[in-house]
Amino acid sequence: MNIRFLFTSALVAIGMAATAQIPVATPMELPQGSHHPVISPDGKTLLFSTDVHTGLSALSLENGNICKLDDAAAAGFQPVFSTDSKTVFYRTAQTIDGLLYRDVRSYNLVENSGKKLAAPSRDNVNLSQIAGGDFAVADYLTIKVSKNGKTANISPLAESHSYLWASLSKDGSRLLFTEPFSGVYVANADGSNPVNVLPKGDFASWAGENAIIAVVSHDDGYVILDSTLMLVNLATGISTPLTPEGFLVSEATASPTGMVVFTDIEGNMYKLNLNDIKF
Amino acid sequence: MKRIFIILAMAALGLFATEAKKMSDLKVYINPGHGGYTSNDRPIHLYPYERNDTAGYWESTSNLYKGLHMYHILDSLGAKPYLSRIKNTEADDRSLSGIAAEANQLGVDIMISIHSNAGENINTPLMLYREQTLGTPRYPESVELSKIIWRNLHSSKLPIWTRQTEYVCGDLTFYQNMWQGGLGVLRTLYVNGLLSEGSMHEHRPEAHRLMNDDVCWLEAWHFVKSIMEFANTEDRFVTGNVAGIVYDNHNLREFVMPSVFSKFERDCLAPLNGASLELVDAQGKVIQTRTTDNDYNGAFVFRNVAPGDYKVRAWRDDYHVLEYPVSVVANEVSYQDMPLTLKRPEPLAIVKYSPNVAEGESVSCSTSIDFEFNTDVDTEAFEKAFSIEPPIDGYFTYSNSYRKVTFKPTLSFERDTKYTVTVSTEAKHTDNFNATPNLAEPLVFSFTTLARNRLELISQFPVDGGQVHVSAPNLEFRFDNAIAPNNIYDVVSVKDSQGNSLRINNRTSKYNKLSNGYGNIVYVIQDNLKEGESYTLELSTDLRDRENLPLSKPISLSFNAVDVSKSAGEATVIEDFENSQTGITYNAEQTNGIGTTLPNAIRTTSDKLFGKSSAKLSYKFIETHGGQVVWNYSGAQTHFETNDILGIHVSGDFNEHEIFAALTSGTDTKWVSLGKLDFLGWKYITVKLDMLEAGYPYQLSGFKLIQETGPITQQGAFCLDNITRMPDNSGITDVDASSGYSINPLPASGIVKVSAPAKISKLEIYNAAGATVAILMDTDTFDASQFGQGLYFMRISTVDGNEHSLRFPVK
Repeated sequence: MNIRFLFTSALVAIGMAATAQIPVATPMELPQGSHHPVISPDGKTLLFSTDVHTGLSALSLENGNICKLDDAAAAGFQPVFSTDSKTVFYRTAQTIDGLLYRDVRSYNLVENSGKKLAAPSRDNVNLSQIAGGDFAVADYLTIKVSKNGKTANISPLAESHSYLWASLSKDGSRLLFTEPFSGVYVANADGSNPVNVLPKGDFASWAGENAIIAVVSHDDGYVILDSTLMLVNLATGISTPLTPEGFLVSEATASPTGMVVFTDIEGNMYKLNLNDIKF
Repeated sequence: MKRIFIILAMAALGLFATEAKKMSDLKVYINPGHGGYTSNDRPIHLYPYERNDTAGYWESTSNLYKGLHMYHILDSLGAKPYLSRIKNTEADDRSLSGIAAEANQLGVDIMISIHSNAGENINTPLMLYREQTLGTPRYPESVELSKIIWRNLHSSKLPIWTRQTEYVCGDLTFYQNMWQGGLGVLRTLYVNGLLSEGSMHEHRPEAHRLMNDDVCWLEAWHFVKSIMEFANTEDRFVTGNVAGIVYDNHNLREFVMPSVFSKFERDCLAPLNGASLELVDAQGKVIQTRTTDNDYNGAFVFRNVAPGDYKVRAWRDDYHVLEYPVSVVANEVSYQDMPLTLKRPEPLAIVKYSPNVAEGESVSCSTSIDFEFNTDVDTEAFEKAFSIEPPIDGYFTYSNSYRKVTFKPTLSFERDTKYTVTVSTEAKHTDNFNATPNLAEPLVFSFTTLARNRLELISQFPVDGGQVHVSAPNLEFRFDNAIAPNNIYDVVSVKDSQGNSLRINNRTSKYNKLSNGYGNIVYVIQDNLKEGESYTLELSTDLRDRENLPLSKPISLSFNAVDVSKSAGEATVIEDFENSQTGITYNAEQTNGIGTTLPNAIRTTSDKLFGKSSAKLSYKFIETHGGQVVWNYSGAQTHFETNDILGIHVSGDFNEHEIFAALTSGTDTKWVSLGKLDFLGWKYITVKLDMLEAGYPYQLSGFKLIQETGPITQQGAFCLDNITRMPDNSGITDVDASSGYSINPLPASGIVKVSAPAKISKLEIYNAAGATVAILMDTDTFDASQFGQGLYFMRISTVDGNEHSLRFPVK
C-alpha cells in the first residue's frame, strides 16, 4: 500500500482546514528503516541513522546525494554540526564488560574525510563545545549555555526534574528546552523569563526566528497511542498540528531556515519547508 | 560479547585492562513506568479497597516503589542512578521518547524500565529487549542482561511462579500482533536496556504481594544483583536477606476479588495480616523485627543481614508461635515461610448438620450429608470418624475453609432406605497445641430416602435401528424429570461407522422444553447426515436430573440415514404447498380440548422437504387427554379410488399424537390413520386406501390429530409437504399370510424374513419408482435397513417355478 501517498493526501486535507498556506509534506527517498534525523543549521544537509542505531549518513537536501559517514554503532545519536554546517561531530558507542564507552569523531562534508578525535571513554563529552560557537545543551539537571566563549550552567525553572533538547535560537538570544513533566519552554538565553509554549513535547527544535516544532505524544506506558508534529508561532503563541490525526510521528528535526524533517514509526521520512507558511 | 573481542578491545584502548570494575563505575537509568491513577496505570481491585481507590493496587505505585528502592540501593553502593520519575501523579506521564532521550543523553550503562504484567491465571517474570527474539539483536548485551534479571527475579520464592522456563523475548516479536514499533521506551534507546515485567499483577495473590514494600524492595535488590553480575563488578552484596510469607497452615485464603481467581500451592492458604516476626541471632539477640502489613500477603523481608545463623520467630495473638532456624549467606536471599497454627481453644463441635428431618419425613435420594463445625476440621481425622449404614460409596468436599463438610454418594442413595450416620469422637480440629481437639461426643442421626433415585428414559428418537432423514437431523430423548443441563453436551457422543464424531450444535440444541415436569434434550446435529451411512449414539449415566439423580442406565443406539425426499419415487404429487395459502384451515366445530390458543396452519419456509415451503400445523391442548384438532383441506385435488396409495411427507414433533387424513366422496368421509407422530424430522407415510367405496371418487378433505392419552407435552407442531397419489397396481398384492407369501416383520425393518410355499430361489425388490434396489439369490432374508422408508415391491421366485409379487412398506 502506498502509505506515503495516503499520508500526503491526508496532510493536504489538514492543510486546507487549518491554513491554505501550509505546504504538503514530501516523502523522502531514503533507505527503509532510516531514523534519527538531524538537520544542519543551514538546512541543506540531513544526517540520519538506521533503526538498529548503527551508522551515520548524510543526505544533501539540495541534490539528494547520500554519503555514508560511518558504520559504527550509535554514530547517529545526536550528532552536532559546526556552525558553518560543513563538519559533523559525533560519538560511537560500545559496551565493554557491561560498561558503555564512547569515542569522538568528526567528518568534513566538504572534503569527505573523517577523523577520530578522542579515544573511547566514559566521559560525557560536550560535542557542541568541540563544534565551537554559541550553543545550549541539556545536561540532565542543568542546561549548559555558552555565548561568546563563556559557559554557564543554568536551571531556568524553579522546579524541574531534568532538561532535554536544549538549543539556542539562530540569533542566540533565546533558549528552547523541554522539561519532561511540564513541557516545552522558550526563555531568554540566560534562562530568565521561561514561557511554557507546549504542555509537553519531544525533539523540540528551532524552525525559524519565531517558530519551533516539537512532537507531542501520548502513551499508555508501553506504546505511543498518538503523536503529532506541532508548530508553535512564538509571536502569537498559536500551535498548529502539521500531521494528520492517526499518523504516528516518531522523531523530528528542524533548522532555523525553516526546513523540517520528521519520521513515522516505520522509518519513512518526510520534509516540510515552513518558509512559505504564514502563521 | 565474545571474550576475545573484549580483550582485544581493551588492549587497543589501553585502558582498565587490569582494573576491576566497581559499582561506582556504573551509571544506571531507572524508569518505573509512568505515573498517575488512570486506567493506563493499571489498577487491580483488591480487598478491602474500593475499585480505583488510590490506596489500593496500582501498577504505577508498585513500579515506583521498586524504582525508588533500586535507586537507593544503587546509590548506597556508590553507583550513579537516575530516575525518570520520583512521584506518582498524572503529571508523571512523561513521554516514552523523552525517557529514552534522557537515558541516551546521560550515557548510562544500563536502562531498566520497571513494570509488571497483566495475566490473571499465570505468574512469571518476562524480560523484553529491543528487536526480534530470533536473529541478531541490536545489543546482544541487552539479551544477556535480560536473561540474568529473569533468572534472579525467578529465583524469588515469595511469588508462586507458574512458569519455570526462561521467558526473555524481543519486543518486536512479543508485540508483533498488537501494534507497530515495539516498546516506545526502547525504540529510540541507544544504550543497553530492557523492559522488565517482574510478575503478573492481575494474578490476585501477586497483586496483594506487590502492595508490600518488602516485596518491592526485594525485586529492586534482585535488579541490582543482576547488574552486578552483568557488569561483573568486584562489588557484591556483603549481606544477605531472609524472606518469606506468614500464613495459616490450614485455613484457606479469603477476602479475594474475584472470588474465583486462580491461586496455586501456598497461595491457597490464608496469608496473615499483622503477624509479628523477629530475626534472632545465635546469642538470642533480636536483630530485626517485622510486622506483616494489612494487605493480605503475609510477606516479610529482613533486609541486609550479616551472614550467619539465625532464628526466625513468628506469631500473632490468635496463632501459636513458630520458630525456624535460618542461615544467611552474603549476596543471597534465604527463604523461610512461616505457616502458623491457629489457636482453637475449644474442642471441635458440630454446630449444624443435615438431613435433619422430622420423623416420617423422607429426603431425596440425591441429598447430601452436610456438617458445619465451630472451627476448621482436620480432614483426615474427620473422614476416619465418619461412617454410614448401610455403607455407600461417596466422596467428601470441604468449604468455608474446612468449616463445612459435605458427603455425597457417588451415584445416589438407595430408594426407600433408612441410613444411619455416625461421626465418632475421632473427629478433631488441627490445633495440635490444644490438649482436647476432638469432638466431645459422637453424633448419630438417621434419615430415610424417597422412592425415586434414578432418572428414567421415557422415549427416544430414533429408536435403536431406526432411520433419520439426512437433512437437519434432530435426536431427542425424553425423561421422567427435568434434567440438569450443565453437562448435556459432555455426556453424549454421536459417531459414524468410521468412528468420526459428529458435531452437535450447542446453540440450537434444546433441553427441558416439555410440560408437566418432564425433561428432554433435543440434540441438533451440526452437519447433514450421509445417505446410507449408519451411526451410533451413546448417552452416559453422567447425565443427571435436577435433583442430581443419575440416568438409570447408559443409552446406546444405532440408526441409519435416509433421504426421505427420494421415498415417493414417481408417485404423482397432488399438493406441494408452494402456494401462498396452504389450503388448510382449522375446523372449530369438530375440534375440542383446546383453550384460547387456536390451532393454526400456515405456510412455512423454515422446515420444508421440497421446494421453498411446507404447511405447518400447530396445536395446544389444555388438558392431558381427550382433545382433538381437525383441519379442513381445500387445496389442490385429484381423485382417489379404492386401493390407491396416499402418500404424505410429514415432519413429526415426537409428541405421539395420532394423525389422520380425511377422504370424502359426497357425504361419505373416511378418516384414514397415518400413524402416530412418534418421530422427529421428515418421514414419508403411505397408506393403502382399501377402505374407500369401490367405484366412487374421493378427495382429500382434511386432517385430524387425536391427542394421545397422558402426553408429556400438550402443544406442538408438525409439517406437511408433498402429498402424493399412486394408483392401485393390478396383480400386485399386499402381504397376505393366507396366500402363503409373507414377510416378517411388517412393516419391514432390519433383517426381514420372507416366507413362501416353496423354497425361495430369487428375491427382486423395487422401490416405488420401479427402480431395482436388490436382487438376492437363494435366500429368504434381506436387510431392510439399507432401504429408505416408503413403499416397496418384491417379486418372489420359488424353486418350483412359481412367481408371486407383493408390496410392502419399509419403516
